[in-house]
Amino acid sequence: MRRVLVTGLGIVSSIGNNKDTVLRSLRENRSGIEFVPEMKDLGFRCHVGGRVKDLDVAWIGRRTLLSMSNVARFAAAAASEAVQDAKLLPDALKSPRAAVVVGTCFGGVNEIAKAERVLQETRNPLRVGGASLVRGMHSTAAANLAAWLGVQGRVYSLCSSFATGADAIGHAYEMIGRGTADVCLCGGADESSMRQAWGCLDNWGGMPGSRNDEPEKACRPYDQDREGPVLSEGAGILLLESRDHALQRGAHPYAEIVGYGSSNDGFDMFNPSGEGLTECIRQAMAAGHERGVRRIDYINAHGTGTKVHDPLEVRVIRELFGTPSPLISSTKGLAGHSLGATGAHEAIFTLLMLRHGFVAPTLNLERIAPDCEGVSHVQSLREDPLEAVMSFNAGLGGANACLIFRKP
Amino acid sequence: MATVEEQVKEILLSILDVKPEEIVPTARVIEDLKATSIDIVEIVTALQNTFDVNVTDEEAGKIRTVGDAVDLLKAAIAKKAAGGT
Repeated sequence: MRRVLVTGLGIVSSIGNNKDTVLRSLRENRSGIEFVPEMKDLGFRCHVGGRVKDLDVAWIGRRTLLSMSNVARFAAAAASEAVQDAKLLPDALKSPRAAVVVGTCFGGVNEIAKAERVLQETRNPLRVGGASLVRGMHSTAAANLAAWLGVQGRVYSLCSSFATGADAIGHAYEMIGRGTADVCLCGGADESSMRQAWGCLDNWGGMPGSRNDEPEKACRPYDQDREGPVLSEGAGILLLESRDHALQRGAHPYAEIVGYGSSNDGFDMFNPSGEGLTECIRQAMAAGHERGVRRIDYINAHGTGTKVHDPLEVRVIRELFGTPSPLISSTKGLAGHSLGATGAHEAIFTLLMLRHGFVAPTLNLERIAPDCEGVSHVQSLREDPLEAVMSFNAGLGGANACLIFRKP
Repeated sequence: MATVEEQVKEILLSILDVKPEEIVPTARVIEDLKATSIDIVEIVTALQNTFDVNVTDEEAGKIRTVGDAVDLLKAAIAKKAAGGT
């Protein structure tokens, strides 16, 4: 395997539309969760979410935007930042050795729903338009980036529920490692307003309803009174390069990816087993060990605030790492759960913490629940010279993915 | 209230990469404004949805210039006012 570096980051999220704003939000606990009037109007129990705010995409150009729904627009803004952040010349992407792997849970599903509504209401196919197909297809974010930036290598979307973003980064890492590509824009993207997803989660009691008047306090991972998740949206894009490619052009990498694990529980569509998560962290740790990683300093856990998953992942961490565990926090209390983007968002949060030497706390973790005790929870901002860090995610259908980054 | 001409111009500006001064009645949609086939479908869709009128494939296929689009819409609006669809 060739060595793979992260050389650029780009983000659109509830806590900021660029990495500098996100860094401030992480350091200062600036929550991205707010009251969402539409959720109240539609009769949901939960009225809060983490929407993307004030994103300007007009500079992309009308002709290009015509084929982009929000999911692709988020990915485009984030990808543009990642390329600039890496100081990569745009021509470097116009190559069969460049790739795009942007995962999404729902793609442009809102476009499909809209077209269906228009057809039902008007009974006139001409009212549906012609571009909604490319705005709605599942690979819309990846394909739009390729068409816009001229990428000619592998370009596709993948989906593994809420592990999507981490799996997309892991897949790109393996692709570059094996020599299939030299450079890859990878990560995840999703747009909110997916009423079906909201509805199901609300019906399960999976979204908080008791703190609608205090949106920033609604999602409380690992807490005695925990509730979650709070849904959010956005895109997180990483620019990965082979080490040789990056060093030849004098890049300043954030980190080296030294481990990736991916597994499925093979157990249940709704409830996690724990064994699958253990397996995927073990895979990543074994790969990291081969690269000389002996200790993980910090874990950005999935930590959605649910009754079932929070204690399960704490148990897995306890069993795998012993006491004291690495420092643990979840950033979902701050930024929400951005579905297919969440793995990429949290990888970026983790990489910013690695570069700047701090750990953002689990927002709203005031009293640790008895079933979430036994690991080193971070409850207030902590300065720490991190060397090796992990981010993992788990999703519906038993999906698990884990990434390990080390200072370059 | 905006005239039909002004609203057509607004729609063309929202879809095509053209300057406002390029949108004149004699401007040819494909040759001068560089619209692709998908652009034309999007334009016809937006025109119908904005004015809440129905345009057939055959009528849409006859649009060559900005002026043709305005005339077609005015006819469709008049037809609707007279009780048609």
